[in-house]
Amino acid sequence: MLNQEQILQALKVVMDPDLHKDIVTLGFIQNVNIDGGKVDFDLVLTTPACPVKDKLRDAAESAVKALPGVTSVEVRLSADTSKQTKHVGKDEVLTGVTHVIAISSGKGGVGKSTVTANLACALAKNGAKVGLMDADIYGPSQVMMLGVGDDPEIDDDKKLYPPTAHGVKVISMAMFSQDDAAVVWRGPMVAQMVQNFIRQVEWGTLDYLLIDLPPGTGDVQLTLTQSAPLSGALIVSTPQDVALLDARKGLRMFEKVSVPVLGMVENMSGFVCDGCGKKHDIFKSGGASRVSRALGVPYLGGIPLEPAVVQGGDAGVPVVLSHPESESAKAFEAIAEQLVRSVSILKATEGSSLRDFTIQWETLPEEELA
Amino acid sequence: MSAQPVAIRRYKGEIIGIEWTDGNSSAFPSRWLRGRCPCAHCVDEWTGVRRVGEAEVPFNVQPKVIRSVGRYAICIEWNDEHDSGIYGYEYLRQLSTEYAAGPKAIGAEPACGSKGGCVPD
Repeated sequence: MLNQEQILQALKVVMDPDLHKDIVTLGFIQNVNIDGGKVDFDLVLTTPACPVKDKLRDAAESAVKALPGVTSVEVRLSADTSKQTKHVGKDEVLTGVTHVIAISSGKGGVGKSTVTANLACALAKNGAKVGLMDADIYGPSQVMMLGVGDDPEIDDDKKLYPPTAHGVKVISMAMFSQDDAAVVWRGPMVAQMVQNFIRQVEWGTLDYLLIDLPPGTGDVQLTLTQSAPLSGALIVSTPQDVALLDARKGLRMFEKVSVPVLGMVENMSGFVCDGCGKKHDIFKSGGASRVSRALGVPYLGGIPLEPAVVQGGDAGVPVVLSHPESESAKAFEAIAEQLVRSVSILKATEGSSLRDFTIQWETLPEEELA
Repeated sequence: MSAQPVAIRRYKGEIIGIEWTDGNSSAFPSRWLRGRCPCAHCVDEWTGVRRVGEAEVPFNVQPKVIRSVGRYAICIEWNDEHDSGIYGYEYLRQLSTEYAAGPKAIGAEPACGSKGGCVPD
């Protein structure tokens, strides 16, 4: 007769490639039912956008199938993001959101908003519940890039309900000002607007909330890092030295406020000519990967210059949806996958790891190296 | 995101030990690690050529302070007053593999060059 112990033992050979632990130890296996030779169980992942979910399911299925006496195996895939949601703070904000990710760049014009829009759509496409907060107060562009048609709804409690575009809930400054009106605000007003976005928007349950930050290291960034429970930040740069210099500053800012930098992305990373097929490095390439290595943050990938990206942005349909077969779309998908991994690994490891430490070497006891 | 440290240890001979969240552990002799400082002073930022290697640092170099940088790196303040190197956890893991493969001196000069301060083992 089969028993649960045998099933779990068999499943212990299946390792999560990112967390480096087996799926039983990680608590992914739940509700094991055995009915004669029929076995079924839940495979509960940490995120619905898990890039290796199919691999894990197949591996789990064949591991159990190999047991003598098993005639059929049913694996139910699900994701439990709730148990990771522990946002502590003075007052709870964004409580239904599992991962809050800030997308930043040191310099303007590197395509941060394009990257944000595409990553949001790529995540949503992979089954995650995604929200996008366009915190670029001075130059909000997400309404256009995502082709948002509706205005947010406001209820009696002044709660804002964000409209949805391509499966992504979006809130943007552009929804609260005239198209051509310039936003001329002083610092405190900016901080207030950001606070409103954080506190008054009803996001509901989200796996990922991406925040499109304005360029630089100013008021909005500070307010956000101080008042939103950021899981991490993504830094977008172009390959030029000057952009990279600013990207470093952005990175240092997140360092100062202890927001983990999830990685760096290089936009406009070469141009693949549709005439000759050759890759031209218009703004050089590989700079972001070099800088991220020097600064010790993961390099998540580069996105080539491609007319489809710009067309997608202007038409309100990001390239991952409008031209899913293009090089840039594939690059965005790969980066979204890396981002999901980075976030999951970070969440899984931060429990036991040393954080915010300063160790005086002389005070450490000398030990014998085994 | 790479593994994170769960403990920093000091082994005899001024060897820096790091235990990681994934169960691995690393051990780096101080001078060896100082000679692999990734900062822009020690490595030319754009050519990637190392300017300060093991040969350029004192034989008895050791850490004064090891502190975390965000959640992705440590900064080591060495007793040769050099403190700008941010050793990313990923970089440290690479170094760990490199050291396990066989420690060798890197730098413009041989390990016991003319700069002094070096005692043969």
